[in-house]
Amino acid sequence: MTLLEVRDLRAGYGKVDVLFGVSLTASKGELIGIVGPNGAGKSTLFGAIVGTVGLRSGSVFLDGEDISGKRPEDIVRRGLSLVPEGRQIFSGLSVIENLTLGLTGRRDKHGEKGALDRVHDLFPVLTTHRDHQAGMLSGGQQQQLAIARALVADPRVLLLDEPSLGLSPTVVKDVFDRLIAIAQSGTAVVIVEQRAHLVTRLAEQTHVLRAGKVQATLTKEDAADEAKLTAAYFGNSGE
Amino acid sequence: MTTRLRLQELLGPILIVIAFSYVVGLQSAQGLLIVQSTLALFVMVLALHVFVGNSGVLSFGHGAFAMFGAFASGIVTTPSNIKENSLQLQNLYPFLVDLNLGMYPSLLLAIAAGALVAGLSGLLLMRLNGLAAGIATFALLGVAYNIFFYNNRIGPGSQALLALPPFQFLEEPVVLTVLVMLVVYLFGISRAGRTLRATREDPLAAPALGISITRVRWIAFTLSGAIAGLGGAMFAHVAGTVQVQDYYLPYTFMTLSMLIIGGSASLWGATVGTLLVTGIGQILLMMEQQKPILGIVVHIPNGTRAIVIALSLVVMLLWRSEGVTQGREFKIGMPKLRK
Repeated sequence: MTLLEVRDLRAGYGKVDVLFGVSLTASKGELIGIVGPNGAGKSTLFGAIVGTVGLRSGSVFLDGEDISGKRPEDIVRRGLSLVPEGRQIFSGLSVIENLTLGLTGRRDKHGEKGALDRVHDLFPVLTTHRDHQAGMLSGGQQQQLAIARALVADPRVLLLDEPSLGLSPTVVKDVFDRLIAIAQSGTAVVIVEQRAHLVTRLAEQTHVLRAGKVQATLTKEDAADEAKLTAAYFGNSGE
Repeated sequence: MTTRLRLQELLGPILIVIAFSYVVGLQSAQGLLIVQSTLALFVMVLALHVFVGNSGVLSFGHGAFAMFGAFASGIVTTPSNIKENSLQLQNLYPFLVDLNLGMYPSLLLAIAAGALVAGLSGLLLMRLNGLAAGIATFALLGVAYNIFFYNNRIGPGSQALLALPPFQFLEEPVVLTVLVMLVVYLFGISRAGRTLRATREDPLAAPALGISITRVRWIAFTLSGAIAGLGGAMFAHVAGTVQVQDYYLPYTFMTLSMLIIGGSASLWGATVGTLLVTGIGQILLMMEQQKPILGIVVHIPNGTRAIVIALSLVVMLLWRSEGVTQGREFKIGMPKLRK
């Protein structure tokens, strides 16, 4: 069951085009990776999907509904959440206040307590630090908070932009284990990562984005082949 | 623990405001007047705190809501016989001549007027950010000023509206102020208040959570407009008179200074700023008027008070931009027991 479908997306900033016809899909319970070098357009792609970057053309469908050009807050309320690069938690607010803000995007207001309980189960450290200022948490804890904050909105599709940024390898493994669990619970998870190996070994499919285009789509088996991955990542010439 | 600390954040400022009111207000008639006008200004500062402090968007336009509140309350509490016979009110709409309300219903009208003007103007203004928002709210103040200054169908125009019933007891403005503090505090800890502070902290991250920045700002702007309407009306009933000039630039500058000097982000900051600026202002005013302070007469030139407050604002913005309280709420540290 396809939850997210991006069709021939073109987007950019001002007069500068960044994406040149990107297409991809993500189904229920699927974990999809998007990798590529700096400036490939990965974050722009997420921005275009969630409505913070203007579309030139193309469409985004969420569970069959065209959400292209809708406002970010309306897109979140329809069930698509983004964990932005650098986490962007509200450091001056407490952990529970951050989580409560995440509830703003829920479609079902009755399930708020259940949603908070679920993320506390998934990230027990957030219970321990419930009333602590979010800015005082460690990097890994802040990342968990950012993911939890997106999850309480009960998204059908969860986008994560560079979730490993600034985290130690142990913490990264912990975070990615939780992401697998989230996907297994039925959410479509799409992860943008510059460190390709982190996501290629977990994702059912990994799209290699370069110069604003999907240059290759690799299965888990394809991505295990270092030569194939390197060729897709840097281009056939290996430049 | 959390509940106690939160109550402390509310009760601390309330007790200090009550203490100030009774200590100064019961000294003399002059003291009573100082307290009543300070509380009226404080309500306006609280209005600014609700919007400016929580959203981080500067507003120069709240004087407009105070104007609407003051004139709404003033017109309906001025006795009909005065409205009929007053030269400056001879062009008043007839229904306004006949309309008479008591002070408290008129304060509700002032709240409604402030909320209505803020709500309607906010539909457009809340789409703006940063400098554009500040300038647009300043334009709103200019529009309101010119409406009241030149239109003598709804008020006395450039003249003063006289014979408003003044507050009879010290308790009246004190109770109103405490009620406003409670409303402001409850808004601050509500989901809307938290959401607004989140948009102040990171306006880019907020929409990614499904937060409509325009909507939460509009809610706060309307609430703060209602409070400013009340503050304006209270100011009118302290003096027993309303004049449009009273709510223009000096009023805007004074109340914004109080908020910024104290710390715009907290109820405690608004309280400290108002009391501090009032206290310093009164001492300097006495010096300007060559009145003795503790038996000593110090003379300073007229206008020194305004200059000192303006310079304090500059100093604060340069070296302590979050105000005296650094945006913190009132909190008494628990004494540690020795082992």
